[in-house]
Amino acid sequence: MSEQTEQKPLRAPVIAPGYSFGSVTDKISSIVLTRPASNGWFMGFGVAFLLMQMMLFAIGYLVLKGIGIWGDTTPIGWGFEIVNFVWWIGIGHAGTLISAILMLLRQSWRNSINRFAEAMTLFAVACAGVFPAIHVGRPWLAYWMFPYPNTMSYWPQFRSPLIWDVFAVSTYATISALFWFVGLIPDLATLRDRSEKRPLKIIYGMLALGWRGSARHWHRYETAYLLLAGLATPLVLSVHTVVSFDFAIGIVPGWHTTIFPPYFVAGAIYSGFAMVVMLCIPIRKIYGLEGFITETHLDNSAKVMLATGLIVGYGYIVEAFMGWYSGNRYEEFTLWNRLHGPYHVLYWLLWICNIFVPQVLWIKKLRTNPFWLFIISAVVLVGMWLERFVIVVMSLHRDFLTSSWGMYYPTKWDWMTYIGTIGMFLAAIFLFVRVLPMISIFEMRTLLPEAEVKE
Amino acid sequence: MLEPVRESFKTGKSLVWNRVNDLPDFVYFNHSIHINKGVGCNTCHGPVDRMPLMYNYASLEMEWCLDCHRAPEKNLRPRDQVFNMRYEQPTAESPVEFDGKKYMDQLSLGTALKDKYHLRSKQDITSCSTCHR
Amino acid sequence: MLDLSPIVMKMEEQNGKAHQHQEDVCPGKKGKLDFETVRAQIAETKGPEFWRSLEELAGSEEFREMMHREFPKGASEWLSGVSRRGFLQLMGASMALAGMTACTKQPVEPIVPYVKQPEEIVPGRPLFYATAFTLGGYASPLLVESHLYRPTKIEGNDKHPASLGGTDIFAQASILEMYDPDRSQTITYLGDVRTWGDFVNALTGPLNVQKGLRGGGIRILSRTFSSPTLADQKKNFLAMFPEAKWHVYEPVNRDNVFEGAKLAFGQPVETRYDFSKADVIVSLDADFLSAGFPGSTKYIRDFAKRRNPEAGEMSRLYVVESGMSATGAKADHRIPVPSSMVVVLAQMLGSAFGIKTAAGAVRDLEPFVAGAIHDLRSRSGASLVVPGEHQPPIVHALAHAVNESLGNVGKTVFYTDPVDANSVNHFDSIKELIGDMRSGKVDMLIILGGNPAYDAPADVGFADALKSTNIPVRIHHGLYQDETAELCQWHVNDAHYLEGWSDSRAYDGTVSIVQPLIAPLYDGKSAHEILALLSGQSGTSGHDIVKGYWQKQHTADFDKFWRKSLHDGWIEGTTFAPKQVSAKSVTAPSAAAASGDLELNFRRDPSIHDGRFSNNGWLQELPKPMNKLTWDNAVLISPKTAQEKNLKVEDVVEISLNGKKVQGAIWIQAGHPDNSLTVFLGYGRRRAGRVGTGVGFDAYALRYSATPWTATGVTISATGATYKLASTQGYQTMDTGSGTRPLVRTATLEEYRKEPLFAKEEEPPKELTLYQPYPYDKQDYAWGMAIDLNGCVGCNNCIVACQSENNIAVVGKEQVSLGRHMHWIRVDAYYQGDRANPAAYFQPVPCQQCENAPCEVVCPVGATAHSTEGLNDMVYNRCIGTRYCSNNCPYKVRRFNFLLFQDWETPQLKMMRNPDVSVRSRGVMEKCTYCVQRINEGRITAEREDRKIADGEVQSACQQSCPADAIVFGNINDPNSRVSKLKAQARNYSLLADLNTRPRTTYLAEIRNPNSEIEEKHS
Repeated sequence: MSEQTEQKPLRAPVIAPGYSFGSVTDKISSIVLTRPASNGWFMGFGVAFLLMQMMLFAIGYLVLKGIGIWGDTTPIGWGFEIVNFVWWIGIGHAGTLISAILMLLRQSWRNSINRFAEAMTLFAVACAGVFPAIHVGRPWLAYWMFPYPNTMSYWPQFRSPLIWDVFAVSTYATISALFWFVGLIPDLATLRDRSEKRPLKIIYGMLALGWRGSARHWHRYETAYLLLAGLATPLVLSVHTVVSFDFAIGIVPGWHTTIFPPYFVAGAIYSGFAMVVMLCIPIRKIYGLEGFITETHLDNSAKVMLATGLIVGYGYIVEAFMGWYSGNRYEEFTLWNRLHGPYHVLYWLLWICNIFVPQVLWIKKLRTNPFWLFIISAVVLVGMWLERFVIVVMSLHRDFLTSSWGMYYPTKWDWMTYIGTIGMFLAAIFLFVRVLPMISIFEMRTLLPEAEVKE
Repeated sequence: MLEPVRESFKTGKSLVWNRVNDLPDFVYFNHSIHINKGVGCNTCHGPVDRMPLMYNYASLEMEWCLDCHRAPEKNLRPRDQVFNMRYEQPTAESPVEFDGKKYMDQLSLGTALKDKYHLRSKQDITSCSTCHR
Repeated sequence: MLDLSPIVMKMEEQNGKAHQHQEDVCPGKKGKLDFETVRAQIAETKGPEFWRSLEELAGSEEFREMMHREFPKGASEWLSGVSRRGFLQLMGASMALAGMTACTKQPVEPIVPYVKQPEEIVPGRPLFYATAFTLGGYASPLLVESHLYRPTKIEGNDKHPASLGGTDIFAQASILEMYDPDRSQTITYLGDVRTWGDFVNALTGPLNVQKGLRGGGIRILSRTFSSPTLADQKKNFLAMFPEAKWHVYEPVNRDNVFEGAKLAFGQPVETRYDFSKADVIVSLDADFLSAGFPGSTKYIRDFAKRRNPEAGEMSRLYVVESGMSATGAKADHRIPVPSSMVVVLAQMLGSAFGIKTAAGAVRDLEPFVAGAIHDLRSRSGASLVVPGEHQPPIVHALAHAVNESLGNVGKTVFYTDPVDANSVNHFDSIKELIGDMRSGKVDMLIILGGNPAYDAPADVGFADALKSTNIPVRIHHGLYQDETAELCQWHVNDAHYLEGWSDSRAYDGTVSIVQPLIAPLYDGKSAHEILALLSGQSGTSGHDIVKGYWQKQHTADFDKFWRKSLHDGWIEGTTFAPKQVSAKSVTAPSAAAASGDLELNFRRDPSIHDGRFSNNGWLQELPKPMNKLTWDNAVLISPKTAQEKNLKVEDVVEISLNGKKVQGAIWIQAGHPDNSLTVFLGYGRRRAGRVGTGVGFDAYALRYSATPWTATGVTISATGATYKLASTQGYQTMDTGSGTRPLVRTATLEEYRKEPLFAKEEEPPKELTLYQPYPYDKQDYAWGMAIDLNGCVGCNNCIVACQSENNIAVVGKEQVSLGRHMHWIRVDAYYQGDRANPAAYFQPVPCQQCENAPCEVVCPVGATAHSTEGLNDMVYNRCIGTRYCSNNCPYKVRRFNFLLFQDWETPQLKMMRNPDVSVRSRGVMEKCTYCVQRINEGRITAEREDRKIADGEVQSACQQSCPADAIVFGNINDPNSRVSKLKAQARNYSLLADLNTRPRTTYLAEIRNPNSEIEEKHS
């Protein structure tokens, strides 16, 4: 573990003093093994689960009736479903970024948050995955989007960004899942060894894939994990780039712009970190993990948010500028429509949420203040959702022929589906914190002073 | 065995047959043009004259349609042979005569027929709207 | 095309089987017509009251027995188990896995071939028969496409001088009326089902009594009719019952026209115009370009011809009007004035041409009138003054006088005998009838068609009279169990014109034989048969009556004559010859010049006319030309007046007139005259059917016989409530927050002469695309379309024709208001300039069939792809419905089935569908295909004859139906095709060319021909 050699505690400690190998392990594993589920947990999980059921109901009705139950119409062919899809995919970026990129960058502070950041990523991608499947008019034929040998001797249309999406998102989901699971193996073994109950032993045992912690195991683990990190890194950038193509490839004014890929990725990381922060602040409080997820973590995350937020801001400004500078009457109007059109309030709200409010993060006090950080992250998440609404709906509702302009009004089914996915996400998180070590035990241990290897 | 037919002729009440070669409803097929371009009955319907009980000879799947539309020369025959249920594709032993010329193999015959009968290009007849509207 | 008469008989057996063929065409039409199911349907639907009676009887034995007796012999065969199973399978399929055809096994489809196949029938190849549709007594000559004896599409009779291939929306949509499942399906007595036999018996008694009274107690009330046969029958009937009286009433009548003629010539004459010879046209509130104006189809064609700057001198149109009409939209100079002001303008014109009349004068109209007078003078003999039907007689009289003094008579204006077989004053006629009813003179009232209980003037109280005076025998004969049928003991279901024999005259008097295309679906009886029964020849079929009449007229070589007449669609030498009439000097009373108070105009509805078509979904969903409203009438008001009364769109107002009140929603209509309201008639039906009942408000409630078209002294007050109106075009201008968009390009004639290429714009180079451009120019055919905006008069014909040809679904008001209407071609209407009197433009927008189609590259499953001939093919069965293509379509011509819009159950509608076009299911994108089914049919025909497709051989449905000939479709690889020639014109431009979509549909810019003397300019 040469990693530690250059990791001299010049920087602020990323783990509170006074912890030992044993205590770390106890602390984290106890949450799963010994600590009984609180009523709060049951209530939270219950609510989330009910919301998820509501989503399933909405989807069921959708399949019976058709897209018409949503607010979609001509010219606004895409509404909430795509807005939510992009939003969730964006959120699903932080995990892999933290795990892979920060790992490659040897940012050891990541160790305490990467585990549930990754989990969060998986769940977010799962939520996102709900939409592409159901947003088509004939979901039972959605499989035609996959290239499979068929008697029609007809392939998918590979020029379509939607096809690229299919590949990008599914690959990303797979890699993230693998990455997450591989990272879990040593800890699963720990849980196996520490759990008293037989069934638990068996389950964790199976999941641990017979991990014994031998040097060879460690060696292979390190290689595999490093490889996966290498694989995952480009994906972090590719996924949202491809998703942004859905719009950039279109000719719709407001979509047809080359700046989308970078600023979609930035936005994704932006919202991803916001979600991580929003989750870890309550969790560290409830489970008393302030020792592991220290203010340093909050501070660093906040800095990342600030940085990506500025990139996003730059994106907005360039978009607006090009709208005017292009001299193209349709682009010009799209800008005008955002500033003065029927949805202009949302556009201004977007600026407030994503650009103005987060500027307070320049203040260190706020960066390290859980309460305010929580609020700001929430604001950012709202802002990022609005961004997608502005891009998808506001571009479509007034395009080229004035005769075909329209308005978009989401229906109760749109809302049920959207809120439902949030429920699904939370339900998954609740389960996760109960059955798996939400912080990587062994990686935490590497942060301990004892772990430092003396030459 | 033909009693039902006679019966129907007497009473004028139609016989109810079951469709064997049944295309999906979104596929538009026109017999006349295929016959006109030299596609034989049994190319698609098989040896109907030797079927004790009618069965579906060709799969009628899109793939199958396209196979022919992509290379019609593989199946074309002189117009006067279209209804000939015993027609064999030309071989060295049994050449087929067309336009006073003897053809030893299907490909050369097919190609000759193709421009004789002004078949449209492969791209033309594999356009979606050729069969779907 | 040939004589149907022998076939009609045959049809009865064949209907059922004929229906079989299109099984291999579209799921929507699988399974046979099955009356069990019809009844099931009836039971389910919350239809109007009148279904109940059938519903109760549904089970009962005698009813079934009756059905067998009453319906064609085929019926029993239709009820066979096989068909029902097949049908249910379909329904199962269509509902459970809507459109899952791609991966499901075909349900077993039985074939039921002919035993003896009629020689003229080739399954899959349609036949065309000539017939005619009649509205208000005026026939539109038609050719009707028939698939195995099922009429499927209405087209204009291109050989007929009054049609030249064009039709109007009512004729186009009448096919749906024929198949309307809500049509009354049996004879009823007090709501109970009866047979024709019962009816005949029931009548013999009373008729004998009347014989004694010389018919003193018989009253017949009919609509306007021009049928020579019916006129003859009427004569015989009245000869038989001299004391009987025949009344005529139609809410949208031509009283003013005939009264005006009487005023001018002392006799009622028909006025016929020739717009092709008119250099200057002044319309005095005449909407002569709108369906419902007699001869409009021909007039549109002639007018459009003269609006082509390339071909000869362009005509100039002045319009004075009391509302915003399509004719006004095409005007070079237009002024909106309250209806009561039109007479003043007429007087200003009149006095200018030396007609003694109270000379009215209004300063701010001077420039307009001066210009008009100047142009009329300079073009005497080649000019035209057209008075509007709803203008008082005096305006007509003045117009006649002016035309005469200009020497237009015999050149652009012709007078003939009225087409109307008995032109009486309708309002007087119905008043007299009601008088007799109330004074108990009537023992037997026969209402032949028409729905007076609904559309009679409010003050005469027809419905009330019908209720209160209990006339012993009240008979209603009509297509629907409507408001009037409700008040009669007897209802006899009418035979639709596609079901029964008749004849009628076109606007120029030419007689067309109305021959049926199908045996009556519900064994309806035509007016001829009723009248035959009344005159004691019961049992004679409509066919014999009509044929019989003409036999009398034309003895020599009758069979040849008859066949020819049926084949051609009209009878030689029946056209009315122009008639010499001399105008008496009109000493016009000084008409009440516009008083300051608010006026209310009643107008026939552009889509559903007087209400008779209100159960026709196509027409209900047809956007009204000027405001694109569907499914409703509204209170039209000018922007200024609305502001004064501070009313907003969709505010519900209460209009009251002499104590009567009506509530309706406000629509602010650009170009509408100030201080005036316009309401359309025909809405607020109580018993129209599933489609039309309760749609809109009933404006007849305010319509008095004294003021049928314009009433003054109305008061209007906001109720505070609002009401949703469904318009298909929410935004009716090309101006945006950041500049105006060049969608409709337009110039004045001078500007055009100076700069012919004004409409062109820099097109990006062809190579400016990532993908290899396909060499379309190497192909035999490259399909393209040119739409002449100068010609388009916004009549909406193309929309209905397309809907009929391509099995397009009706979605209903709710969905329209969400923007989910399905029309493949739409007619955008734009207003530019001062909203008080804007310039208005129409732009039909079908799929542009872009060569670089943005929709194609984004479809993930390749459901939309280009054909080698440049068609943007749409493969419904491949579409999974991502709607990406629609998002990426800059023209927004793609239509998505958001819900299951198609009716997959109603058997009648299945019979109506075009077997050559797939019926789209839920979740599938659809769009204009340039009628690819017609292209393919044309190609197959041509290739079998080993030749190229000739120019004009293949016509798209919109092109075929366009009365203005403004849509031209064809092969742009052929430099000599009409479409190529048009595209070569300087005016030709493509919409949004800068996007490099390379549309195959292009537009010819609109040229206006204003009088430079007049200040107020368009554009």
